[in-house]
Amino acid sequence: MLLLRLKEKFARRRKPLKQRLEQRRKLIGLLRHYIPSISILLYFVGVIWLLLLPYNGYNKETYVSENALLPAQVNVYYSQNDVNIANEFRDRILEVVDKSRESRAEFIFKELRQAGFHAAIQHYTTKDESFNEAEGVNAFGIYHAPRSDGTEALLLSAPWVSRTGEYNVNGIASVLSLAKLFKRNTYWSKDIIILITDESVRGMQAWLNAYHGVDFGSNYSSDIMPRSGAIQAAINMDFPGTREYESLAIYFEGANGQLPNLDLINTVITVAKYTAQVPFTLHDNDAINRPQTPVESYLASLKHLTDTIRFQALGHPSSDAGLALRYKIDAITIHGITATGMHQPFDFHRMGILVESTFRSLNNLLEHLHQSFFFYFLTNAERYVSIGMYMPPVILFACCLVLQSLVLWYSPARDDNLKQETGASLAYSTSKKNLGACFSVLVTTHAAGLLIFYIVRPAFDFGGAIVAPNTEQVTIVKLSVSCGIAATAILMAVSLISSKQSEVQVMENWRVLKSLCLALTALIVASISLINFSLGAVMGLIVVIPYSLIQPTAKMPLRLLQAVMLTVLSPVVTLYLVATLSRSHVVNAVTVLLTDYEVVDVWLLAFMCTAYWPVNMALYTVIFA
Amino acid sequence: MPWKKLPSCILLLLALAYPVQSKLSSQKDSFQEDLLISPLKDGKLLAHFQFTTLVDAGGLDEKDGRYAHYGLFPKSIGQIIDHHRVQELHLTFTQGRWQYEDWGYPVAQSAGTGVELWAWMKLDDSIESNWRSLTNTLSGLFCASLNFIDGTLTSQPELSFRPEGAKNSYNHDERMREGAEVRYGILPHENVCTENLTPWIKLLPCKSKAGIATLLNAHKLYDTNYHSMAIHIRPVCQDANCTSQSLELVQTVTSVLDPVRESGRRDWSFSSLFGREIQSACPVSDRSAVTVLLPSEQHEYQLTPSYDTIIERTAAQVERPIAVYNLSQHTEPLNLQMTWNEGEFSYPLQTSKPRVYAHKYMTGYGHERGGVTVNIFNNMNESQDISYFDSVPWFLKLYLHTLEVSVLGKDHIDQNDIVQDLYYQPAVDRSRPQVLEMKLRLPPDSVTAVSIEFDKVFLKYTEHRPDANRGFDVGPAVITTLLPAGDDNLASTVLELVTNRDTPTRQNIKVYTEILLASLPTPDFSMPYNVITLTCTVIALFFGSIFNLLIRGFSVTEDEVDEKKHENKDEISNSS
Amino acid sequence: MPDSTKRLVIASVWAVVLLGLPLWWKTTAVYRAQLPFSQIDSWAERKACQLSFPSTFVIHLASIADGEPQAHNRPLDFAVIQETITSHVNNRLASTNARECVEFPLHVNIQNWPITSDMKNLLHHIEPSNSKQVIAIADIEEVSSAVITAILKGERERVRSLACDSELTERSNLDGARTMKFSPTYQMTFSLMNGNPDSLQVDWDIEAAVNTYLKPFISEVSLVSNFTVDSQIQHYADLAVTPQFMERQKLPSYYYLTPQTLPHFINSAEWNLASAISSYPTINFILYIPAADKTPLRIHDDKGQPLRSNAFLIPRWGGIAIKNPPKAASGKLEFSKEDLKPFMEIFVAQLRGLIGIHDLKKTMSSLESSYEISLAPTPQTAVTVIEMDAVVKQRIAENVVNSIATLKSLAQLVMDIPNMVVLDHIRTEVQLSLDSLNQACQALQQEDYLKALQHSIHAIERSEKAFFDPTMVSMLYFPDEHKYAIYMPLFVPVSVPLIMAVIKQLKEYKKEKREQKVKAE
Repeated sequence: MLLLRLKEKFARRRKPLKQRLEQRRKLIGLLRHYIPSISILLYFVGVIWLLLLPYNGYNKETYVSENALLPAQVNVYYSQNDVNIANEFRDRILEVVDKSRESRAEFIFKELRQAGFHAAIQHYTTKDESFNEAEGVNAFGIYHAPRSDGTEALLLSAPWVSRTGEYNVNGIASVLSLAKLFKRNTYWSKDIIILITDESVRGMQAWLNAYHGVDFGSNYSSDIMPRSGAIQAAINMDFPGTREYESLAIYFEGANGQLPNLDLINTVITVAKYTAQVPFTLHDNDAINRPQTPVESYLASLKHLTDTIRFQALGHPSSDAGLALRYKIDAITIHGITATGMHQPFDFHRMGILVESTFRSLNNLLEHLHQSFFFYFLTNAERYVSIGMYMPPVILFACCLVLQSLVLWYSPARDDNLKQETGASLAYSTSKKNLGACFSVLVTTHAAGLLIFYIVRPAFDFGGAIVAPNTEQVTIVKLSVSCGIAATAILMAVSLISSKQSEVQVMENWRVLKSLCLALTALIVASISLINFSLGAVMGLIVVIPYSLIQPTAKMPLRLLQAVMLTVLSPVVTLYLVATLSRSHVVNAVTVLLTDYEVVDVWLLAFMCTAYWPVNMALYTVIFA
Repeated sequence: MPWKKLPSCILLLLALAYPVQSKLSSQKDSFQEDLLISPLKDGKLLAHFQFTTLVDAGGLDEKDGRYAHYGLFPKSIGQIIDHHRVQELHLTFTQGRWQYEDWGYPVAQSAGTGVELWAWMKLDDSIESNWRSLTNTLSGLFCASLNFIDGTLTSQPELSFRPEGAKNSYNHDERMREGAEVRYGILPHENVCTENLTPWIKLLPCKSKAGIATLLNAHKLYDTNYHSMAIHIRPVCQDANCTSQSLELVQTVTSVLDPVRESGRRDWSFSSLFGREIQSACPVSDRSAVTVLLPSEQHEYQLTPSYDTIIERTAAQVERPIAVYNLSQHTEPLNLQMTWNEGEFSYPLQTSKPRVYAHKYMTGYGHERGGVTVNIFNNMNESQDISYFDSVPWFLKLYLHTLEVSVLGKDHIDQNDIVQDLYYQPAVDRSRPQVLEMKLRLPPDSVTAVSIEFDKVFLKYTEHRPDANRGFDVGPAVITTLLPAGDDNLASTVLELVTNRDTPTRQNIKVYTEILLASLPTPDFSMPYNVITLTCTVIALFFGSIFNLLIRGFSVTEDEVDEKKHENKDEISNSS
Repeated sequence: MPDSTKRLVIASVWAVVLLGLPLWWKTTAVYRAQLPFSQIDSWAERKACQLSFPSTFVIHLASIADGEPQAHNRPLDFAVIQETITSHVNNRLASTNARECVEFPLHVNIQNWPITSDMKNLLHHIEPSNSKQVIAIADIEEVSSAVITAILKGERERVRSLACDSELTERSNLDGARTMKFSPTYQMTFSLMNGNPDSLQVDWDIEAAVNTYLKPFISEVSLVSNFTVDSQIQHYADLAVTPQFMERQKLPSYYYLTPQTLPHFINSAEWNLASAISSYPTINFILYIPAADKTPLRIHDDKGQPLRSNAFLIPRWGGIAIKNPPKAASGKLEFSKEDLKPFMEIFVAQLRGLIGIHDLKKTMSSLESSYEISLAPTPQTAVTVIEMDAVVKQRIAENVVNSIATLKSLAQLVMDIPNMVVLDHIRTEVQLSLDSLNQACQALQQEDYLKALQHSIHAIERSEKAFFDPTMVSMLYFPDEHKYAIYMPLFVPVSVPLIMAVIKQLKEYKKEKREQKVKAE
C-alpha cells in the first residue's frame, strides 16, 4: 500500500513527456537562436585576448633556464690588440669588397687558412630572382678544437651584403678577428665554424644544404667540402658599413614561423646587458629612448608582437639565421643599428666581447638547447608570452566556427512548417542530407587549388610553351591563369549544387555545404596554429566573421556584397592588398612568395593554394546556390 | 757500458744454467723502449712512445696451457689473455681527432676517437662469454667503462680487421679464419684521462721511474691536440718460417703537441713539452733510444745535444735524416732541444693530403629519417683497393636499398666497377648493430662517396641517456688499405727502420673517420607522468562518450502511451 | 535500439574488460619464482639433517707372542679395551653446552699386530684416510685414550664452534682469523720484489723451486682445494713504510721494521699484486729485495729483537720474506732452485697456517711430558694425514654452515623485497645447493669424508652463485604504486560508465520482470 503511494508520488512528479519535449525544443531553439551571437562573442573575446598579450600583466620576464650556459660570467679576452686586428681587416676588406665573388672568397680563405683553420671555398648553384641557375661562392673555415671529438660545433657566420643593402664590412672584420682569438685558446669543447656567405639568404641556404648533404651530388665543391659535427647554435653577424653603432638589433624568426630556443636569445641579451653593455632591441625598433608611460610601452610591445606575427605568418625568415632553424640549429642574427650620433656608440671592441662571451656560454652546453621555450612571443627583448597564454584565442576562433557549423548541420531544412506537423520540432533534422553534392563541390575546389599550385610554382614553365624573357609578364600570366581556374571551378561548383531539382534540397544543401566549409576552416585554423601560430591567428582574424555571415539571399545587392567580400579574402586580392600596403607591386610580392618557396622551402604558397583558397571558392557556391 | 754486458751475461748464465736445466723467469723476455719525435707540416709535433716486451710464447703452451711465471711481461695482461683465450688483442684510448690532411698517417694505426677494443678470440664454445668478461676485466684494469661494449656495440668484421701477428694474412685470407674469431667494439664518447694512464704505466717493467717513460707526465700529455694510448698484444714469429712464436706486447702513447700555440714558434725541448727530462735508460731494457725525424734542410734548425748516430737517407723511402740517441750510453740526463731558424711560424696555405683518407658526416634533417655519407679520397694516380668497415647502432635503421656508391664528378663510372665485395649484417633491435663492409677499388685520383639512409627509432624512455638531448654517438667508419712507404706514413716507416725490424714493403694503413652525433626524437623528460595521465584521461573520455552513444536507445514516444501509463497505474491502485 | 542488442553491447564490452584485466595484471607483474623457504628454514634450524663427524681409530697391538717376558701373558680382551678407551675419550671430550648440534661418534678398533721383520715399512704404512695409527709402548688404554683425546680435542672444538655457534666465535678465535675464507681454488702468486734495479738486478728460478718444494704439498692438499701457482718479478718496488735505522757499535748496523709498521708493508698502490682475474682468492708470497740504501733490512718482534727468519705472515693475505742482498752482489743476483729452498720452506709453513692446518706436533707436545710418543715422521708432503683429516672436517663444517647461512639470508632478502625479480635459475640453484647439502650430510653419516667435502663445496658454490646472481641485484621492476599511479586515471573513468550501465540494465530487467508479473495477474 505504502509502496504504491510512493509510486504514485513518483509518477506524479514525472512531468508528462510532452512537456519535457517542449522544454527540450525550447532549449534547442534558444541555442540555435543565440549561438551565432555567442560565436561572434567568442571571436571578439579572442581578438581582445590577442590585444591583451602585449600588456605587461599578461607576459613574463625572460630567464635563462639552461644551467650550463652561465651567460656573462666569463672574463673575456677580446682586447685592444684584437680591435687593431679587426681594424686592419676592415681596411683589407674594403679593398676586396668590390672585387669579384671569387676573389672575395679567396681573400677570406687565405685569412682563415693562415689563422690555422681548415678553410675551404664552396661553389654553389642557386636560383636568382628570375629563377634561373645562378652561381655563388661561400668561404668558410673550421677550427677543430683540440682534444674534442668534434661531434658538436658552433657556427659564426656573416654575409657579404648586409640586410641594409650595404656591405657587411664591420661584421666580417670582427668575425675574422674573433677567428684569430678563438684559435688562440684551447678551452673549446666544440668545433668552431666561421662562415662568410656570398649573398645573404641564398648563400646561407646553399651552405646549410651542402653541410647537411641535402641535394647531394649536385655540386662537386659542395660535396667534398670539409665538415664538422652537429651544429648546436649559430650567430649571424650583420654590422653594415664601417661606422659605429648605437644599438644592437636581434632577428630571430625563422622560415615557416619556426623560432630558436628562447635560451639563445636570453644568453645574447644577458651578455649584451652585463658584459658588452650595449643597448639592445628586437628587430630594428628604437632601443635608445625606452617607452616611459605604460601606454607607450604597450604600443611598443604591440609593435614587436605584430612584427613577429608578420614574419611568422608570411613564413619569411627575418634574417639569414632563420634558415638554420630547420636543421635543428638554434640561430639568431645580431644586427648593428647605425649610430645617429646623439648616443655614445659602440664599435669592434664591444662587438667582439659580445660574441666571444656568447660563444663561451654556448661552449658550456652539455646538451642541445632544450630547457627553454620553442614557442613564445617576445613583447620586448626581455619579456615573453608563453604558449599557454597565446594559444586560447585561436582555439576560440575555431570554436566559434565549429559551433556555427554544428548549428547549421543540425538545423532542419524548414523548421517553421515542421513544427506544425509533429507536435515537437526535433533536436535534429531527420531529413536525409545529400552530402554527395557538397563533397563534390569541395573536391572540385580543392582540385582547382592543386592545379593552381602546380601552375604558380616557378618550376612550372608552361611546359616550355612560354620561354620567360622577364618574369613580370610570366608572373602576371600565371596569376591571371590561376584566377581563371578559380573562376571556372566556382562556376562548376555552383552548377553542381544548384542543378538539384527541389528548392528544399537546395536549402538543405547550402546549409550542409556551409557547415562543412566552416568546420574545415576551423580545422585548418586550429591545426595550422599548432605549427605556425601566427598564420593560424591571422587567418582566423580575417576569415571568421565574413565566413559566418555568408548565406544565400534573394536580394541581388547583398549577394554581390558577399561576393565582393569573398573576393577580397581570396589569396590573389589579399596578396595585392598586402603588396600595396607595403608600397610594392603585386608582382614583387608574388616573387617574394615564390622565392621563399623555391629557395627557403616556405610552404605558405602551398598552404594558400591547397588549404585556404579552396574553402574560399566553395563559399561562393553558398552565395549563388 | 753495462747495457752491452747485460745480454752477454745472460747468455753466459744460460750456458752455465742449462745443464742444471734451471731457467730464470725473465731471461726469456726482452724489453725495448723507443721515443720517436717528428715535426709535422702544420707546426705541430708528433711524439710517439713505444714500449715493446717480447716473451717466448713457449710458455703459452705449457702442459696446463697456462703461462705461469712472468718476468718483464706484466702478469695481469698475461692472465687476462690466458683466461679469456685471447690470441691477439688491441686496445686503444684516444682523445681528439687525428688530422689526416695535416699530419699524414699515425704511427699507431688505431686512431679512432674514444676507446677501441678488438681482439682475436680463440675458437671456443664460450667465446661470447669470454669476450664479455674480457671487456669487463679490461674496464676494471684500466678504469674505463669498457664494460659498456656489450652486444649492441660488438661487431664481427668479415673483411676489414685481420690478425696482425704471426698468422698475419692480409695476403691470404683463408689462413686467418682458422682457430680464431675477431670481435670489435668501440666507445666513441669515452674520455681518456689520468686514471687510464696510471694503470697503463704500471704495466711497464720500470713503471715511470726510469727510462723514456719518465716523460709521461699526465698534466702535459692531456694538454695536447691529440692523445692516443694503446696496448697491442700479438704472437710474432721468431724466425723466418715461424717454427717458434713469441708473444709481443707493444704499449704506445702517441701525442701531437702544439709548440706554436704558446710562443708562435716551433721550438721545443723535453722540458717545455713534458716538463721533465730523461734521467737514464730503464735498466732492464735491451734497447732504449730516442729518434728524431729531422727536416730535410740542415740550415733550418739546430738540435742539441748532438745525436749519437744519424741515419742519412738510409732506406729508399725515407728522404729525411734521422737522429738517434741511445739512452743507455748517456750518463747525464737528456733534455733534447730543437730550435728553428725562423720567426713567427706561418701555416701553409695548402694542406698536404695523404694518399687515401676519408670523411664521414650525417645528411638530411628532421627527427624521422636521415642518412650518412662517407667521402673516400684517393689522391694517387692509380686505382687503390680498400676495405670499408662501418658498424651502425641498431637505433638507426639502415635501408640497404638506399646504399649508393658513386664517384663524385665522374658519373660515367659504374657502381659495380668500384664495389668488389659487400658484406652486410642487419641489426637486431637492442642486441646487435648493423655491420656494413665493402671491398672497394677506388679509381685514380677520385672521391668516392658511399651513402646510405636510415630511419631514426623512437626509443623507450628508459633507453635514453641521462643527457638525452645531446644525442647518440655513432662510431667511426674504418678504411683499411695496403700502401707502400711514402711521405705520409714516414714516421711509422722510420720507427720500423730504427727498431731494426724488417721494414715491410707495404704497410697496412687504417683510416678512421669522424665520429658522429645522431639526434633521435627525444621525449620531454620533465613530466612523463603528467603526459601519461593526460593521455589516459583523454582515452577514458573518448571511451565513455562512445560507450554511452552505443547503449543509448532512441525511440519515438507518443503522448498517448504516457497517458495510458497513468491510467493503468490508477487501475492498479484501485484494484489493490 | 532493442534492449537485447544493448545488453549484447554491454556484455561484450564487459567481456573484453574482464579478459583484459588478468592479461594486464600478468604483463605488469614482477616474475618471482617460488623458493623452497621451508626447507631452508629447517636447515637453518639444523632440523633437516643431523650433522655427525664420526671417526674411527685402529689400534694395532703388538702381539706378545714373540720375544716378550712371560709375566703378563694373558689374552687381551679387545672389546673391553675398546669400550674403556671410547668411554674415556668421550668423557674427556664431553661438550660443556647442553644442546649438541653435532655428534662425534667414535669407534676404536683394536687389531692384533704380529710383529714381523718388515716392521719398519709397517711403521710408515698409513691406512686410508680418517684412521689413525699410533705406536705406543705404555699402558694401552691410558695412552691411547690420551693420545686420541689430544688428537680429537682441537678439531672437535673447532668443528663444534663452527657448526653450532654463529660466525662470531668462528671469527673471534685466532686461527679462524688467519685462515683464508674457503674457496675450491686459490690463486697463489710468488712475487720477487726488487727495491732498486739500477744498482742490482734480480732473477729467480721459481718454476723449478715450486715444482720441487711446493708441488707435493699442493697435490696433497688439493683434495680440499686446488692451487694455481704463478709468479712475477717487480722492479722499483718501493716500501710504503720507511724502516728505522739501528746504529750499533762494532756490529754492522741495520734498518728494521717494527711489528706496528708491518701491516703497512704492502705498497698496494704501486706493486701489481692484485690479480686481473678476480674469480678466486689470491694468496701472495713476496720475496722482497730491499734497495741498496735500505740494506740490511730486518724485522723486529715485539721485544725489539730481530727475527731469525726474516719473514712474516699477513693473515688472510699471504706471506712475506725479506732477503738482504750480499754486500758483494753487484749487477745481477740470481736465485737458483737451491737458493730458494729456505724461502720456500718459510712460504710452505705460512701456507699451512693460511689454509688452516694445525700442527699436530704442537698438540702432541703436551703429552710428551707424561708419555714417550713418537709420531710417524711427516712425509715429503709437509702435511700428515691426521692434519689433513682435521682440515677436511673443519672445511666441511664451515662450508655446510656458510651455505646454510647464505641460503637463509637469500630467503630473507627475497621475502623482504616483494618487488625483487626472482628468476627460475635462482630457484634451481637454491634447490641444487639444498640437495648437495643433503648429500653431504648423508656422506658424513656414512663416514665418507671425501664425498661429503665435494658435496659441501657444491653446496656453498651454488648457494653463493644464487645469492650473487646479477639478476637479483637489478632492481628494474615495475613497482605497484607506479602501476596504480599510471593506470588509475584510465581505469576509474572507464569503469564508471560500465558499472552504471550494468546497474541500469539490472534495474530495467527487474522492472520488466515485475511488469510481466503484473500482466500475469
